[in-house]
Amino acid sequence: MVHFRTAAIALLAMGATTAWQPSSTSTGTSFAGLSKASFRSKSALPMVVTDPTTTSGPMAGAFTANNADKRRVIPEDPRGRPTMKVVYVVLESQYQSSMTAAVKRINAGSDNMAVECVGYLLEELRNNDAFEQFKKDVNEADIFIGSLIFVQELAEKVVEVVQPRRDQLDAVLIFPSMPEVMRLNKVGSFTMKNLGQSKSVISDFMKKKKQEDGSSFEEGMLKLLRTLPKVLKFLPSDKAADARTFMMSFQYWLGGSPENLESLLTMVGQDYVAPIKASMEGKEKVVAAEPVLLPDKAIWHPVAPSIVFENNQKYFEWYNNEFCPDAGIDTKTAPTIGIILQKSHINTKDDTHYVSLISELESRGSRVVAIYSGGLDFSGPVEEYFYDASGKPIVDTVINLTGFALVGGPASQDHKKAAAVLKRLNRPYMCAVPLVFQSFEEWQSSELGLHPIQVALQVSLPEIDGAIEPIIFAGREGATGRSVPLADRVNLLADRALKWANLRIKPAAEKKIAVTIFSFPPDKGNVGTAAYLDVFDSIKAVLAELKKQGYDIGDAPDTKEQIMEAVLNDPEARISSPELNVAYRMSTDEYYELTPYAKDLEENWGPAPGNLNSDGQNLVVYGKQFGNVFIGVQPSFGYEGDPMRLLFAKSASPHHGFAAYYTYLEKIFKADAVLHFGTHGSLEFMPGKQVGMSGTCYPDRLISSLPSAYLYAANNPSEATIAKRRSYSATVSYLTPPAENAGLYKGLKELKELISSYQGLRENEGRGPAIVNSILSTAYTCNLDKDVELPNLETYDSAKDTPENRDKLVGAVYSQIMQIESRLLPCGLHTVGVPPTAEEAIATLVNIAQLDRPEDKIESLPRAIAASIGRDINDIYRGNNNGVLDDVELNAKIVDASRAAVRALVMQSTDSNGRVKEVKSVFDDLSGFFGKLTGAKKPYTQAIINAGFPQIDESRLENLMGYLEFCLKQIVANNELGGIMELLNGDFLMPAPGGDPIRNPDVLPTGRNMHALDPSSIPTKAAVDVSEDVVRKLLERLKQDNGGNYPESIAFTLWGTDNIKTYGESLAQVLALVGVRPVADSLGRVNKVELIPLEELGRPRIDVVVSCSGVFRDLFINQMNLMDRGIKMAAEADEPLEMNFVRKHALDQAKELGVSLRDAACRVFSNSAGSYSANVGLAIENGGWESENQLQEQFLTRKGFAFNADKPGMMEQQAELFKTALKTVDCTFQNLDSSEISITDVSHYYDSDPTKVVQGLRDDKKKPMALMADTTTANAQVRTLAETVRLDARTKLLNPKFYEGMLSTGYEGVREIQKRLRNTMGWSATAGEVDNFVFEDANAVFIEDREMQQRLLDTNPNAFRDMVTTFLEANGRGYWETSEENIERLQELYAEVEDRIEGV
Amino acid sequence: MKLSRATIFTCAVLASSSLVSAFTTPSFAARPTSVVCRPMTATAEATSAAEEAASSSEDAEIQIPTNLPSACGMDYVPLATMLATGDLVAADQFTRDALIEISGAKAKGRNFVYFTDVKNIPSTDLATMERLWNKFSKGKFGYSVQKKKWNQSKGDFEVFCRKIGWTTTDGEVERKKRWFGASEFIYDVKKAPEGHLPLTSALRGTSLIKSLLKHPVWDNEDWKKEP
Repeated sequence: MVHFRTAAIALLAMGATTAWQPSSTSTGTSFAGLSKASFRSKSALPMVVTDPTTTSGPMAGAFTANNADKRRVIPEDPRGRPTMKVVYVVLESQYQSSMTAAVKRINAGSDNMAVECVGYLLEELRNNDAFEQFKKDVNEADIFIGSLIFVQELAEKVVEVVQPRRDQLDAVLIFPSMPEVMRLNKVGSFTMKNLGQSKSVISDFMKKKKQEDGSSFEEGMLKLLRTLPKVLKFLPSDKAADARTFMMSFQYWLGGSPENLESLLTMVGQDYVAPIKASMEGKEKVVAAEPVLLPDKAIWHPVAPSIVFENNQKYFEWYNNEFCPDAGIDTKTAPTIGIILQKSHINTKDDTHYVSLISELESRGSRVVAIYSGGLDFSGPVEEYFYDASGKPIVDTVINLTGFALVGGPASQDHKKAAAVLKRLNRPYMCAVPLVFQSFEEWQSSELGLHPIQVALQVSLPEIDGAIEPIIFAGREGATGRSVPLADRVNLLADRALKWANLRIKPAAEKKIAVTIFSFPPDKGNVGTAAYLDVFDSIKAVLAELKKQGYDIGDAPDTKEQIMEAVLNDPEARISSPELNVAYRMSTDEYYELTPYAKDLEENWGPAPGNLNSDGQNLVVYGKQFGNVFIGVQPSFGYEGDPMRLLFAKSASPHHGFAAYYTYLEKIFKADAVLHFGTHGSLEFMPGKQVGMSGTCYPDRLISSLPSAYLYAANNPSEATIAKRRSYSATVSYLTPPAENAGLYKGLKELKELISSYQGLRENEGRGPAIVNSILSTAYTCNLDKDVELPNLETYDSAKDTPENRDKLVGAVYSQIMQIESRLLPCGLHTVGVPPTAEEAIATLVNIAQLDRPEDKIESLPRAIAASIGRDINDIYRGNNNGVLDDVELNAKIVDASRAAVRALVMQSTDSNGRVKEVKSVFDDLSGFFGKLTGAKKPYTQAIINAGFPQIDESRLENLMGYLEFCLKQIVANNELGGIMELLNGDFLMPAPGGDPIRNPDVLPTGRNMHALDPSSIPTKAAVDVSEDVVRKLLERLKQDNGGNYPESIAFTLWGTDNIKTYGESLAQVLALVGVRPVADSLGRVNKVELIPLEELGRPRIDVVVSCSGVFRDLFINQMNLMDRGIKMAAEADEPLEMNFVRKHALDQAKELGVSLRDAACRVFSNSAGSYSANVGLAIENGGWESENQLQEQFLTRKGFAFNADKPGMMEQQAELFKTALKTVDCTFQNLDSSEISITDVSHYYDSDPTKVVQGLRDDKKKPMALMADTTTANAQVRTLAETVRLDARTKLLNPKFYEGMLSTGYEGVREIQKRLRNTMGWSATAGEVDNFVFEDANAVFIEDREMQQRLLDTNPNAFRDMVTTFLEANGRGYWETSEENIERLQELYAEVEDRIEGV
Repeated sequence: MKLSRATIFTCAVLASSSLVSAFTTPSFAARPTSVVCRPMTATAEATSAAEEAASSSEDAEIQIPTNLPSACGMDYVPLATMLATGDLVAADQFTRDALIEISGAKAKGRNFVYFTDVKNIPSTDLATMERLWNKFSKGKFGYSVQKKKWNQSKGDFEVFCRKIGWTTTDGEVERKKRWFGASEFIYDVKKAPEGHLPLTSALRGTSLIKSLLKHPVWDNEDWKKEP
């Protein structure tokens, strides 16, 4: 039996369409028995590129609406032959046409049997009608065939239907699929019943093998499979004969051609189907032909005289000497595009989409090398065929048309190997996607675009290899399942591939580069905005690098200020003129002539030029050209001046000025590439499909054929992913500014000093109480009474209090200011290519050291230090949080010791400029060696000893310190300029995960092409564990504040980046609240949920209302599906209502709205497809809103689109359901996942906060509690929103370390300060959770202080004006009560600034 | 005036045989370049297109050109007959099939024309087919008409398709017309937009039709001259 087990493992390991060479005789280039033309249809096929069978119109809720009946083949004339009924289910539709042809051949030609056959595409089984029909068909079938059934829920459906019929079926043939489906296999005595029973054995084995020799495991298995059938042939037993039949069937199946499938069916029919066997008694069996197979890997060309070439020398002999001269391709100068194909399409001759792209490329004068692999590891043929004999790459760009990851396809990927192979080749690598689960029309009419399963398999996974530009290039024709090219997409793909190739071929001096900067929100003071980036300083660095590499940068100035002035006009312009430098005036005639879609914009904007980026006659492009480099300002979204447009923005389009900008870049300036500068602009957020753009989607129309590089903050992988997918940009990650500890200032600093002196004098009955009294009054001055329960200042005298109570009071205050002090704060702005200083690196490393990393066997530094005094760090954290003075002190001491240790480590490698040039290992130096001999300690150990922990165990630190050293190397490694240049030079840019460098140091070094994660991998087990802990804390807190009662419903906000960084923690929190558990399948993918029984849960199921960000929806639609299914499961569980609030509320809603319970249990909401955010943030940023009601309506309208697992293809407007669900909410909740993007740093958090919305909807009009989980540190916290806002204000807006840091960068810095102020006010508007003192103190810092006021005004008058406006607005809207004097000062100031800006 | 399918078939056969004689009998050249095909029966049903074409022919006679030169031995009489009798569906299919023959694709063992084959298509043959399409559509159909539309479309294939009516809309979604199954193409001279026929396959890329429209035969007006 061992053979079968191994074979089964092999099948699993290979996943999809693998093949092997059957015998040496059929290698070579002949395609025996199958002439090249025999399978082409009768004439030149028509141009039609659509699906003739699908019902028209938008999808009816399901992702696909095909009908299997169209594929049913019934023998026209059985002529008395026994009829064998075959039902098959496949993932790949290309098998349909071959199956149909094979069946027709048998019906026409066989004397012994006829075949009735019906096929299903896996995805169709989701549809209830189709599923019922499937059941019926299987119940009547003799033979069942399944292939590539890798979608868990559908696999279960197949098993559900086939399992009970298994005994009656004459044979069940399952080719690579999930183990439970594989177990259905039955050919005589051959079964795979035991397969995967101990699934861990297989997966462990695979993992182990993979670790041992990478993916060559797969190759090894292929070899085994090649020899297996031959060995089996010589075994006499029946069992071996049955196994052989199975192996032969598999070979035939992989061969895929009608001839091969005919052999398969004939063989199985005459050997296993009783009536056929009976009728053939006495007759001679038909000897099935040997499987006819193409070589394992080869080069293919549609018009080559032989079908394939097995080495590229032979190929180029024909190609360069015969084909190219005939086609008019100049082999000396032509670019060469490497193409990767899927073998099954060549086997089944379903290749017109391939031919289409090849012909478009060749007709543009390019050479093509198209390769395929039989296995799922395409790296072999890449290495073999894309290099010439001397080892030089032949290709200039690579396009992978399989849509799969380069190594491992849909099954088990090896991204590391893929990236290494691609880097060695060093060419741009595009991965285009054929539509598999949808018809062309379904995709075209879908707002979501590409089917989510395909997004997961064929967009997300290739991105991890470093692939760019997921362009849809082919569709499927419903009746035959044949692939058809999408003409306009294929043309675009060809154009773009050649433009990338051009970047390699064109000399640097001739290349034109368009640097695009942003102005967001649109305002003069905001030109050159990018998150945490010193834009103009970075441009300076890029220009210098371009010059160094031979690009023509003309007379570009070499200071930041001069570059800025050139773009923003003259030095005075910033103050006296609102005009940016005009680079080009485009007449409307020229605009209409060059912009093919210009007419379409008129619906929203009227005829060009309109009034945005317009001088009334012409469209105006702002920017400045230096030599071959153009620095341009991307126009705004177009909302300014008409905020009401926000409400109707669903059908919006870019305005004429926006279109003109990109037309200018492509057709007038003729850029070879565009460099989008920083996080982020508006291009990728323009209306269109979510993923898988069509030619009518605006991001696609705008970027057109231009290669785009996009500098993107490393901590924002989710939005970077949107840029990659929607605007075809390759990202280059940049470091966010190093985070430092916020530190203490003013009163808070005094407090800390007082507490230190108290620590020495607490026993002193005279001085001790006096100090406590001072602490108390200072704490009041600092408004800490909002956070800590303090006794009444007037009546309290600590001298009369017990020492324990005094300790408790001091402990509570201490704990609070430690939270502020140790909070991380990104300081200043990052300049591209400048690595952090040693000091900055220390802050980051301290935080890296704070986390346990059990998967890498690394213990956190605080844990090791605590252990040296026999304490568990978690105990200390708990004590600290509860204000136990000793623990607060100890925690502070541990923090200091950690810092000292990391400092000691970094100092080893720091030069006299305070920079880390080269990391010197503390482990390999000689002194370390001698140190060991003499018993001297490592510097970091000594530092910990000096900090008061003499018992620290050095050996326990070794792993961690080694890791920190590695991280230090990554932090200071600098590839940002390098990464930009690699893209501009047409090289391959290495991929890297995006996220929080502290949680995941693999994010470093920056300067790589950022990707998100495999969406089906989350939530991970670790994330589920953490989330259960957070949910417990959350419910504790809520119960405590709610008279011991559980909340009935919690409103959640889910973010894309949050879930990427935490591997799905917040998503897991939702599931935990409802009481469902995610279940991973045997391949480790999470695509199922199960209900946790109430007994086990031990508490009621809490209802949820999940508001997903648009980005989350784009990235994790399968996870939305998971949540929706879990919630519906809970609603449908027949449980007491007081223990199941989901059911309780859903029943009420069902009654009220007259819908089914299941439909009422929709709790997962987001924007409509292709639209993002509630736009509340935008409204608040430009002040154009009248009442909070308006904001709330906007929130409800824009976020009220429900996801429904029963109709997974669409986001359905369900405003009423949304409202009734929100109505019962007791608490609103968000997660804060990283310190550098906190709640006042960006508008997103308040933009989607429903606190006041819920208040308005509740019957009792009670404001729900607003909570935030902070998992930014090892010591995770759940705080109220108000606490969080205070903490944020204290560590940022009001903290001199923050604002001075910002101001040191000048122009951009003022804007950053203003942004925080504006976002703080946003919280007043949406949640009413901002204390008066925050505005009061901010006013004192920025306005009352004349010197500060002047600095702000001089540095960025526009941003300063906005600050003044924000203060006035906060007062006017009733969020800030202050003195008349303050208001008058602001009003005067406003007039003054206005005058200065207007140049009066 | 109605023609049965049988009649059309007969006409085609007749026309073919007279063409053969045209090459063998010198005196035949002096005869008019068309034969008059008189219907023998007028009973059975016909396709609506044929009906339309037939009834529009006022004198109830269909003239089928016979001087149809080919540089590669291709017989265009069937095409002429189909067009003359208004069987645009068949004519369209014939034209696509003919391209495979005259481009040499078939000789290379292929059943489709690759764009590189187009230069092998003799100008003579393209001109012959074009004159037929032009003549029987009164200048509405043919590659030369498509070429004009292509030029107007500034190289944008999608615009081109819209201009010649190869696209349609389902609700808001624009798509290419279906050809197989129940064809959505308009086989009707009056109703179809200019340049609608003949239909060239773009299933293997748009480069084929682009190359066809770039064929040197369209560089000047010589193709219009009757031989």
